[in-house]
Amino acid sequence: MSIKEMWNYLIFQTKGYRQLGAAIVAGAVCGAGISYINSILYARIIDTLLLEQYTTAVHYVWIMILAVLVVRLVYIMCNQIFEQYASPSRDETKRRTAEKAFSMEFEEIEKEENQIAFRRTRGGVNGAGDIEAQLDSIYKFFTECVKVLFALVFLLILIVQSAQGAHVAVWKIILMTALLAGMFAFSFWVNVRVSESIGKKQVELNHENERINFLYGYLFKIFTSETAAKDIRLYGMQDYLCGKNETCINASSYFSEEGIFEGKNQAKFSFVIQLLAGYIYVYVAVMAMSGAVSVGDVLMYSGAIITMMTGVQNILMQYNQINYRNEYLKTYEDFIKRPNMHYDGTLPIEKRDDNEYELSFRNVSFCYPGTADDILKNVSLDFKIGQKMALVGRNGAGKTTLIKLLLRLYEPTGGEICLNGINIEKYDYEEYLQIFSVVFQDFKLFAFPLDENIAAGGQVDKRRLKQVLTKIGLNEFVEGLPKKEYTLLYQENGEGVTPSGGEAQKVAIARALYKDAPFVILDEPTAALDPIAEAGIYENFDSLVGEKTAVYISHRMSSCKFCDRIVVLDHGKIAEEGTHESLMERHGIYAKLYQTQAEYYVTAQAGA
Amino acid sequence: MYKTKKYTLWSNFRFVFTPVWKEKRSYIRDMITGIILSVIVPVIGSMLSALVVGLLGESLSAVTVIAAILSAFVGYALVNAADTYIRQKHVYHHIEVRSQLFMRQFTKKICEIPQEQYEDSELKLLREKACDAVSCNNAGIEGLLRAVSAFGTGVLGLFVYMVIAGSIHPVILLLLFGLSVIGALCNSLPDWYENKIRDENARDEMTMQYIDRLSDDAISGKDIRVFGLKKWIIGKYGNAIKNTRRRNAKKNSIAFAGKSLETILTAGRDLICYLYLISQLKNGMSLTMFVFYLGIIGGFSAWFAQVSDSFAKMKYCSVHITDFRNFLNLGEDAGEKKIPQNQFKTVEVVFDHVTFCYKGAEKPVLNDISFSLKSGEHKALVGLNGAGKSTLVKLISGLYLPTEGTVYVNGIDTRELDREAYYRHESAVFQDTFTLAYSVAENVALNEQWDEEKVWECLEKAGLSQKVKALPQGLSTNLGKELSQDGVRLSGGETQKLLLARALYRDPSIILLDEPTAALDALAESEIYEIYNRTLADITALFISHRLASTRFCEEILLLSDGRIAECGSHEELMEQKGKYYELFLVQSKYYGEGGAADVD
Repeated sequence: MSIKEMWNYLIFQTKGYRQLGAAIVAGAVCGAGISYINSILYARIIDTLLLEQYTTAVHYVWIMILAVLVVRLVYIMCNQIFEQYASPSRDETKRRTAEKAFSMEFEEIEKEENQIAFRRTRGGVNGAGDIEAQLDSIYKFFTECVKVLFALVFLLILIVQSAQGAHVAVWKIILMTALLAGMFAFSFWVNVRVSESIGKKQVELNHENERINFLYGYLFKIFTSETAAKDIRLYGMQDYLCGKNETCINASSYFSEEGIFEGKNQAKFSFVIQLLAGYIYVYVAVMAMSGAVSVGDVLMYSGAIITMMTGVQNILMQYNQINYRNEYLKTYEDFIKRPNMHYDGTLPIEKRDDNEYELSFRNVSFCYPGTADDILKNVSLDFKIGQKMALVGRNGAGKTTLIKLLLRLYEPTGGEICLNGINIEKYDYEEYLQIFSVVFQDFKLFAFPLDENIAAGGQVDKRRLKQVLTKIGLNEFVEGLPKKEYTLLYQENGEGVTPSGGEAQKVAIARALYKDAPFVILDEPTAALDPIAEAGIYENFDSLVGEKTAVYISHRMSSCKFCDRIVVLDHGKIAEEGTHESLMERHGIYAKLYQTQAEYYVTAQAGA
Repeated sequence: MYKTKKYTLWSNFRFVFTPVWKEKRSYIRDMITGIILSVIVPVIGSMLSALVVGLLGESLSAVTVIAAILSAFVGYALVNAADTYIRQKHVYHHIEVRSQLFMRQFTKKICEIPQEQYEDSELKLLREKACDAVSCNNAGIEGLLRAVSAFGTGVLGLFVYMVIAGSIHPVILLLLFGLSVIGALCNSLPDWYENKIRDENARDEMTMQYIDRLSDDAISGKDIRVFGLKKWIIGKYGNAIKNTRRRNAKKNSIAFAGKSLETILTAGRDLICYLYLISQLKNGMSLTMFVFYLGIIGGFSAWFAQVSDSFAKMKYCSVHITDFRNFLNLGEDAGEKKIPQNQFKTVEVVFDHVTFCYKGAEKPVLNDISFSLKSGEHKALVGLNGAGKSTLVKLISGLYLPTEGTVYVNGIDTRELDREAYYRHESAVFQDTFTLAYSVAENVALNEQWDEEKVWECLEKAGLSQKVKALPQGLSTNLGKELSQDGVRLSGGETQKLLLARALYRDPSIILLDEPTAALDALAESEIYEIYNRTLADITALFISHRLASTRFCEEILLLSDGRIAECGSHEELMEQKGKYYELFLVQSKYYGEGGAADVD
């Protein structure tokens, strides 16, 4: 990362905050300046005191203290402005990541590289990719650069002064200066080597740390999962799981090795640098004894040169850290900036009052990324307007996949899906989704207020909400909640209420009803309901769906009877199609599935 | 019910350092060495510049001056290097000590505390806090370790500097001390304000973390896209950031005011000290001492701040450690636990007027229930959602203890039973299935060492051996994609079979099946039930379902309703009774009757 890149990065991260640029420049100059102002005036104080000019010394004391005070106050103010802008950057990055995650192609979410980007964004707070620390490092980097620049000026003045005023042979000065330069170069070399090897080791450490945290994170999720708790106890999995955790615990020895390694290297370096500091004192002291500089100047120049050395050291350190973090930050910068290739359609969806949206699959095939088997093979299917269609088949037959393709959560690997004759890829994705109301088998409600969950947003139409709640039979449930419809769901985002499986499913159905889209998809909407509630949903099926086009997926074969048309999927192909009666007559898969379930009831009833 | 103890800072200090003293003596050695070196280094540092001024003030020969300076710096460089080494080493050592001495206690405990305590919402909070105490670098145990080092250094440094400052003049010492106190107060202003906004900030932080978790969750991703929830959810994120920022802006202003005040006071302190020291120079104090004293004065308040900060940090971490210890205190009183004479070779469960009420709930979930599950018997439990079926399973399995009445396992009250031993002889398949992202074999055996023959036998019985043989790495194939990219995802039916194999692997005497087929298609469901029927021959078994038909093959069916056993008997008997069971059965079966669709309108 070059300095220009760093600056650009800083600007990108803090876009729109012009004060910030000013604060960083002023902060860097003041932060670097404090110690120099102090040492210049301190040198004068010492010199005047050596001459026993106490009144003048007192004047210098006043000047020094006031000057340092003013500069320091400016510096504190700059820091405060910096902090004000830099500290939300971490949250902002996470927000942008979430926003990206919610708008990127669905099939991308589970890909490993994107999961890494998510992990790094979140892990960054504790680890290598912390954006706030990055901004801070860049700020420090600039400050240290200014410090070194100041020190160079001092060094130049010192050399000029020595050359002019020292009563020492010129060759001696040259020799001493050359030795100083040599030692300087040597310490610089040691510094570069030490920070390189530490940096390399830290990269290893961080990768190891990331791996261990990942494993521990998985185990930890199990340790704290309500679902797993019962199994852990009943099956006595304690020793087994704790054994797995030993890997993570033992990995901590790695840190101690790292500590010894870093300690040795840094000790080596600090030894070299203190020797160099000693030599600098000697150098300036020789100049002082020869009359080129004063005793006070000895402290001043030595201080300046030592500041320069530590400045260079800090610059290298920050530079390494900045680059190292950049590797991490780049992952999610790239991630956030990556375009959503699949969702670039622009065609608007015609708003139609007659709900004439006709969807059709044309020779559609699909295979999940990274797998060899086609889940859907050459499927052609029309969803006729106003028709209620049931999609049945065994687990894994491709029912849910078909729905996911329809919703463009995945893209077909072959063939095309059309809306009113035009490939759905051509439509604006957000508008396209507006024609669907869906209840997924694994639907999710969110830990926000109930009414907002149903309205799918912050704007809630109260009348419509009321209607939907009545229709689905949730009124009683809502009335019983502590804050009625404003009650928060779940515990993840504050004190809320956790609905039972059946209640949650009703809320999910309510959300789909509230949306009132022309095309309704119900994927096993009654799985979590008990028989009474299940029957209630079946009986209201028509009134729930109304005149809309509907697709219904269920394992309860009995529920398909309500549909105008039944499509049976088997091994990714449409195996049968027709009404309940016609399919029963065919004695195919449908009939077999139906019989298997009906057997329980019919024979039982006959026996009763 | 669960009493939490309060522990003093001293007690927590001993809690942490006793095991460290016993097992990681080198850590303590490094800590003490580090403390001493960290104080020596700055003292020598202040002496060095004083030495240079002193040497140059006298008229000494160049060689003497050079030799003196160089030898002083070589000594200083050595001490400095030693200090750097120890401190750097120590930073990482904290992590090792925390992980190796304390982490195990946590994970072990979290697996061991009784289910009831595990599910208790109050204790959930305690559990989370205890977790923070062992997993953070700057809080809890590691926080205390770090703070103790800093505190030790601070106290020693402050003591040395106080002695030196006192030797200038007692009033100077008093001045330095007083201003340090005020300075520390100034710096604590933002903390004081942060305390006021902590809850609100935590609230917003919670929202942000929640949304972060949603972002890589594919299941939520579907609903978020289809319902266009992005704007809504991201809006919540934006609000949380905005509010946090607004509050923090105020905190920053307070911090700025505090820091400015401290800077001004420091300037005043410096002025007084300079003027006093200059007046001492007039009275004959050497310039060497002048320079040395200024160094000490400049460093004084930093030591004081270190002492007060690290003390506050110790107290802060001590709170977490108290939580951690309270968490470790959970669990049962270790009393004499009974094991039945037949060593659970067969299991018989009897409910005697059992009532169960969740903590804090007004109404009991189960009310005065009596029934028995004899050894080798297959019973079914049916009922609507929320009837208390899962609670009953937990009572039978021993995960819960009854509020009133008694559950007898082979004649022993579960309160006195060695439940750990009982667990080893029971198997359960729960509604919310759960597999581990490790190999198929480990998932069956739940151990890193498994008996290959037996694993195959159980897979065979469960009807999954064909599938596993076809997997790329057979038994060693990992499940799911969570830990390995080449892991395999099993379908719902296959997962059920795997869980059955797991249940069989331990040769259970009793098996509990809590709605295991809810997500399966008709053929898979009937296949699973056939397998159960075949494999569970002599094992005591309880099937739980809300689908009445699926449990018809059981010898006896219990119908649970409103926390009571409403009806019981065989399917035929219950149908004849024409009671609740009959009614429910009709509702479910009417769609399968002749011309079912026509019956509904």
